Amino acid sequence: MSEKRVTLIQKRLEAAFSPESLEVIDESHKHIGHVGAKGGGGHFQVHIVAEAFTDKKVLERHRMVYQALAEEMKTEIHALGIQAFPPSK
Amino acid sequence: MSRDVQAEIKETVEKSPVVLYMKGTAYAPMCGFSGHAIEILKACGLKDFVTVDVLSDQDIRAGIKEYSSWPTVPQLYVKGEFVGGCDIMREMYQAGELQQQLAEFATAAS
Repeated sequence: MSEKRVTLIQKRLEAAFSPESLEVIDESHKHIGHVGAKGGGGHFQVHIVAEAFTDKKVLERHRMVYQALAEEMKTEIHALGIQAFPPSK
Repeated sequence: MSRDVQAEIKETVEKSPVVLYMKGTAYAPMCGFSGHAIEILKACGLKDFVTVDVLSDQDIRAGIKEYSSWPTVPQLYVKGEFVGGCDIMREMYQAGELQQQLAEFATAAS
């Protein structure tokens, strides 16, 4: 289940940004039992480096990632840690 | 039923200079991300800031996600403007930007 989610997130981000590097980490196990985890949505960390983030402010970069995952944010994803940078950084 | 949540949020974030929408309270955060946001604000030298517990108000919990088109909590507002969530706060803090933006509200030396 969890692995499927990670794959789904990876696919969405690859389609949206053609990233130079991409890592999606499932951290759902860290949050078992906490209030927010009740709904069944997972906790994930995304590390993504892509040309699309060049010259974008941090708020914009994070919005772009959320937008690419808009559908998943409603159900599959409860919390998402984001590190999104352009290639130079 | 006639509650205008968006207007309520607007009033809240404009009434106080620093407002954090979070899960739980500053003393008892109910989520690691919210707890981290509190730590960052304290590290910026802030003692008095307003927190709103979204877990105690389902209308606000849903409404705050619409207000700034931002899907998660915590959310930090400074002077009525949306700054970002926990990761953005951390990134800005590490770059020294958040301290600058909050300097005028910091109490004493931190």
